[in-house]
Amino acid sequence: MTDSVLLLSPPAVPVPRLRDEIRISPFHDEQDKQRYLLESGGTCFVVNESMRDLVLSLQEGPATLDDLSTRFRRRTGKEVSPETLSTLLETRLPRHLFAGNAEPAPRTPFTVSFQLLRSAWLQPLTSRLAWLFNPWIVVPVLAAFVLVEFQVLPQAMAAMGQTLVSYDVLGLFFGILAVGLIHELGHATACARYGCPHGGVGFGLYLAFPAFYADVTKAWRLPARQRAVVDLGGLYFQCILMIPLGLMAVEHQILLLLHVIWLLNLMMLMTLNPVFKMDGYWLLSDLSGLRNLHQRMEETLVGAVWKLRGKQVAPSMQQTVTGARRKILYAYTGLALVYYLYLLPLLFRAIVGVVLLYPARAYDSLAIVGGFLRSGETTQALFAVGHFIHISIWPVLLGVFLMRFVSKLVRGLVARIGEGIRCLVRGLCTCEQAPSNQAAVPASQVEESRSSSVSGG
Amino acid sequence: MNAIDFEIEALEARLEMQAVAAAEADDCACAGECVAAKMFA
Repeated sequence: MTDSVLLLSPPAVPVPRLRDEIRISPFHDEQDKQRYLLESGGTCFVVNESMRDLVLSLQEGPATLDDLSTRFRRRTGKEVSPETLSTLLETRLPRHLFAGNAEPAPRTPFTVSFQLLRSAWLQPLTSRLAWLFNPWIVVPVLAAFVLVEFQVLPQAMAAMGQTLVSYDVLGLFFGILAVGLIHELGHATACARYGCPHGGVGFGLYLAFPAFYADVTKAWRLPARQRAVVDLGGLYFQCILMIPLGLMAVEHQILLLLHVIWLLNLMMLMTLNPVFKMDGYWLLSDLSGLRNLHQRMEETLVGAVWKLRGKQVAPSMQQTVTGARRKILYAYTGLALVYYLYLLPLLFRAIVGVVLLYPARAYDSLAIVGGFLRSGETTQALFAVGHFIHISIWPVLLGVFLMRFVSKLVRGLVARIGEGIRCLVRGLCTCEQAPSNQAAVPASQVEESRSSSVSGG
Repeated sequence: MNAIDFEIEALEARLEMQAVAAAEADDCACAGECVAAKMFA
């Protein structure tokens, strides 16, 4: 393991010291077994009772492995040998939980991302707005939203047939940006409502989509229902926003506003899609109790492929999911697969469309810019440049997405080919043998998910 | 001798995100179709 601590030779070698800021609290996942949330900086883990006891024993600052074994026995009444503890420290606990090791950069689903508003800037605002999540406020707000929506949505849909003028298109973009920020403010405010710290708000590129995000990782501290409120907090704030916007649009028939409202509705609908890692994903994860849902879906698919090939697969993390949760996981995996297959031809059509149409459109657009510049019409040239940027956004996003996808695919293939060559060179072609538990799980996940069963004593 | 399970599972960073809808025109039949069409319009 790359992130393991240095191999210890029990019992003489001192035990490495844990980081001071490690925090342990009960984890609310409504399962039979009690779990605990272990936080270290910006990283969270779920641990079982034995692992919690081991971490608590480590926090006491044992000098040697013998000392650690004694403290663990005193705490739990269970015997674990110093040799076993050494193996556990080496292979199970991530290196960055120990003092002197840098915390790895958090893994995000974004190709690129940057923070727009820091947590410290948001906190004064979110703490003042937390009252909006009072049930006595929520119910009338949602009722008002439904009434306004009923009035404005048909008009907004009808207005989409009318084209906006140049200035309005600019207003539309700023309107969408404002709506996105207000949505993320809603997530952060829901955290504040439950006294849970929140991170900042930022902007990134997720797959081929520009997206706003709010870092609410600390919401893992909350019970599942409160986490679900955090998940819905963004939509709730957009509902609040919709009330005055909708009333204004109905009253004054402002075309730009009607366009913004239509896009606002579209964004609200899109964000409930549980297949991509948007609000719907977290909502499903929290309500079903299936944490790390994408990871479990991948494991389910990999396990199914191995089974189809007639290989025996040892129990992995997804197989520890039982009962109704397993059914939900299988249903989610199946539906997600169908959805991906549905999107595939659309993606293909989009790529063909860009390849066939974009070069000519870009050439024409640049020619117009050149024409205006030559005739000295600077303002018109600037508008033409704006148009060129407008038509280039989607091809650029699609290009970045495809490059990332192809790069991951090539890296995966190279790794597999390299593995095959190594097997041939060594004459140890074990590649066709039944996979072990860890081999059945992609390497990237082995780093994240660890479960061990060790003999006491 | 009874085995002791030591389990640790890293949790995903909770980045609640909302994708920005950039499309304008709409000629799709149903909401689901519309969302998908917008994604790859």
